[in-house]
Amino acid sequence: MSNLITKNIFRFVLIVLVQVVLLSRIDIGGSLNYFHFFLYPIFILFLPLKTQRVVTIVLAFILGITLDFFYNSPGVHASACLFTGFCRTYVLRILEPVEGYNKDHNLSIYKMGLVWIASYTAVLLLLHLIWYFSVEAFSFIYIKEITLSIIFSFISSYVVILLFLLIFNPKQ
Amino acid sequence: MKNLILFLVKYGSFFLFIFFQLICFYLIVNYNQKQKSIYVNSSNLFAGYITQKSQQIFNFMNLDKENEALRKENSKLLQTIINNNIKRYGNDRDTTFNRYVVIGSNICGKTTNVRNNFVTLCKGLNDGLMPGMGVIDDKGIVGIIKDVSAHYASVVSILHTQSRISVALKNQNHHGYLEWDGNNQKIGIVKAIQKYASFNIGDTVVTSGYSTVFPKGLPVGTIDGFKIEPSGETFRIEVDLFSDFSSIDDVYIVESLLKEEFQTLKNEEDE
Repeated sequence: MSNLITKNIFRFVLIVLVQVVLLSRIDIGGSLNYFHFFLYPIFILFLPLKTQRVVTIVLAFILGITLDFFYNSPGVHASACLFTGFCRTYVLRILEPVEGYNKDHNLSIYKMGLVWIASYTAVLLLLHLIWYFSVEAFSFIYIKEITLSIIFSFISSYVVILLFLLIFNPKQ
Repeated sequence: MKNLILFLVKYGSFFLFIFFQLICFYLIVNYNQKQKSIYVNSSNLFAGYITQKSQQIFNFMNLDKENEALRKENSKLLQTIINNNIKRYGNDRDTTFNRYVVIGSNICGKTTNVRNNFVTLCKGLNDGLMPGMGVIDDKGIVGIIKDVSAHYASVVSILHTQSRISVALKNQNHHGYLEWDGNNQKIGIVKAIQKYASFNIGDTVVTSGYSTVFPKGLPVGTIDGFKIEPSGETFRIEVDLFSDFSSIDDVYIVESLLKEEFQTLKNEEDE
């Protein structure tokens, strides 16, 4: 149990570091500034399956607030993370395999298969981005910018997340 | 109590989500300039709509006051124009003296369809109106005040068969007087213009300034048609009046400050 907590604290730190040290500095610039790289949602996505919903939401909030400190945007990331954490249960329920989840398993490519992980990540990442850019713009006057940001950031973030998952691919 | 706990356990995450979301939005609105301004603006959008609507209603209720203020302003401007015109084209020595005072008023009643038409003004003695003052509107001349009570004044409009107003052809020295034949409220008749005067249809007729009622040069109308009177000495000119009595609402009363002086001299002349 304590091993699991330590492991997740480590994941948390690693993901936040990669996000704020590397990804947050990528600035494609020019007319392509719709590209943003979101890695941190995978912390919420790949919390252990048996994590209680309340805990998920609290952790999501902590993750979001932490990122907001670095991004200097109080509340924006936290709000999006909360939404992702809130939706996680429903998405898991919808994507539940026929034989059900093994409660002791972690969600990993090794256990769940690449297709399942890819679709699960896609759904939640999209939800996360929709919420994030809507809250960031804070007004649907900017619907065009919001849509473009969602589309482009989804592509870039999805690639980064899949790469990250393939690199850190625990066998057990 | 047990139910409440069960309820909280079942929906706790949802309430937690809402609770944290509220915190987030509080943070967003309070610490992010861009979102803050949007939040303030969108809440203003609704409040602004309400304010605007109520303002419209109050504006409507204040319309009378507003109109009165505008009328005052207009009469001030009109006064300046009239006095400046006289100073420029006349040969007044004293350029600081304003010969005419203009008072604005709205009308309380009017007739236009009988042979002797009157206009009633909503101002009277208390506002400085006196019998004999000229009344004009933004387009042309309206008439001359005949009777005044404390709060009202009765004006003999130029659509009155007894009305006679001294007029002249613009930029010429031929004088006549404007009458009305009691038929068409758009057409006035100018009589007593000498037959050697030369003019065309479409020329402007203005007030002559021979009496003290109207200042010189106020527009009256344009020439619509003419013929020589049976006597053979003068023209009978039909004038298309500028004043539209069907839509008249705001008028200006012109008062000459030299009226008494003029009248005294005239009386001595008569005696």
